[in-house]
Amino acid sequence: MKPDFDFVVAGTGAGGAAAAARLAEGGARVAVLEPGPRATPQPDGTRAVALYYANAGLTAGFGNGLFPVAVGRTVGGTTTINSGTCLRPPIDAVARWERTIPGFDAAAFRADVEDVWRTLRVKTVPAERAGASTQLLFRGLERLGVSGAHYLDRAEDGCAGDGRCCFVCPSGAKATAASAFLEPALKTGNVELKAGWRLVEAIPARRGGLAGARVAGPNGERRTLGARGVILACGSLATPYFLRRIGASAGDGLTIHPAAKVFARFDETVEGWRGVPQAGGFLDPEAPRLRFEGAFVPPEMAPLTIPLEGRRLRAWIEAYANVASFGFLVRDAGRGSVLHPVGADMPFIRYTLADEDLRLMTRGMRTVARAYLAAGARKVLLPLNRPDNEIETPRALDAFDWESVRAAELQLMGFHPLGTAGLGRVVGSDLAAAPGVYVCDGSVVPESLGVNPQVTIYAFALGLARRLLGGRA
Amino acid sequence: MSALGDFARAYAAHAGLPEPEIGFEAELAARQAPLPLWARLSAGPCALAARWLAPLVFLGRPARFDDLEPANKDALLARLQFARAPLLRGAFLLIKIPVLGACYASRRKGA
Repeated sequence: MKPDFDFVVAGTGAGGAAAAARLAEGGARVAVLEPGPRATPQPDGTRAVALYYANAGLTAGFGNGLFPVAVGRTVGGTTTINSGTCLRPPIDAVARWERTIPGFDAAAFRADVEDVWRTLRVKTVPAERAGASTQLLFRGLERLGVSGAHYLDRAEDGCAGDGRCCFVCPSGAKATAASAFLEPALKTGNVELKAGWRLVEAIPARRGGLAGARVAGPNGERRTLGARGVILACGSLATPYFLRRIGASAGDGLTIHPAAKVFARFDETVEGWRGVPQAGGFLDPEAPRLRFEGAFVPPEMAPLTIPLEGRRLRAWIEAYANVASFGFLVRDAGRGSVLHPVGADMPFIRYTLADEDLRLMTRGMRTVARAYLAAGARKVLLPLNRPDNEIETPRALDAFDWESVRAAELQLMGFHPLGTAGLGRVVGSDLAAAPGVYVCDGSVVPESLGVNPQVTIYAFALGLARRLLGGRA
Repeated sequence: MSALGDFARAYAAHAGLPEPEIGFEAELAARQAPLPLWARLSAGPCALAARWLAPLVFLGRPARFDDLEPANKDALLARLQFARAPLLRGAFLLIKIPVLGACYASRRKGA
């Protein structure tokens, strides 16, 4: 039987788009499924969330707290709604994978990372384009004598500093999986993008025959596509659904990089919505599992992210032009799992924030709060859902009862779900889950990275494509 | 008049926020339209509970949210926002997404 395509790729995020692009460049005919729409810039961030985030931004984990998780559901996947920040995978993690995962080729992986770096045209944010939130934090760190803060590397070409990276880049300058990989691949003529189509079931190959993908179209039509291989790139929250249907034991080992941000009110005008929101960052020199990164949401999103209510909330919104914010994320020791009682699109996420992660979260908020107060902030607002979350002096910050903080009080978010089909646990170093069925998204990342994971995921995709082409790409 | 609209009006009056130009019902409908069905269906009952039941449960006051004194309204909203039970905070978020969006619709860029 002749295959409909050489490969069917489900998902157009970092994993799916990069794999599809390299397979197509190598001469393979590829069908790419994307259930979400093509994203267009929206003047209102809340509308972008409703249209292009999975479950309209309502994806959340439950456990010893409430853990919203942000993932994209649009052409380009989460890269369309991320900050564009690029960080290489940690050296210690790659070394560990080489030691513990049979067949993992660290040298080839590192080469793929550099390939990704070039393709995304990664460049360091120039100081003049950094948002004022970052500048103020850097000022505070300098006054405290804390070194190591730096401007971050981002995937962009011609960024205008519109400050809305996470709500679809208005200028299109941010390099996404769609713009950097998928769009060029479509020009080869070897890729058929099936927008509005979703995977129903992956079918492993039997006795050296074809694999297949049962797919559903936007009008409910069903088809089965035969192919040499099916690549699952639906993201860490959806891919385990398809893996379990073919008998793989996926869904455990979820990490989310719990993250939060501290708000600070200044007398001076900040207008944090101007410039690159995630322009700067640094690693905690004494707690390397704690990474600080810029974070600022546009005014229309602020009421939903500020942990206050009623008139206290209004006071902060009224002063939002004078508000700065900066975030942090934890390379989590805690783990979660994902189940799908009603299908791939509605994950049921369980997650437990580990005690050691909670301590790092409180350390993170203390560090940012201290820096902003040193920079001249009138008051800071901690990401805690409790009445005493506004602090006005360094002394009050030191006197705060940090030991009393509970995971359930944190106003946090997970931005990088990873690990639900971990390399070495669920898939082998060839990323195969079954004959003819491969996985290529955040789910294969074997552990919490502590860095924004898009470069790592892209690199896994390039390696998979090269292997599937027999080393030709 | 929907349960969500009633809560939004009471919330806006308390926080001193104006009614959206197109009215609360239209603004809320527009904001709810892209949400998943389960979220749209849940928001009304959650708003009803926040307006009628929450004052009794959290403040021991058998009164509507609208009829509480301003300090008690703030106290009630704080109890919901600061709830440690993930499901309760999640349910309040289902109200907040459309209601705060509508209430602060005219206040952009800190204006």
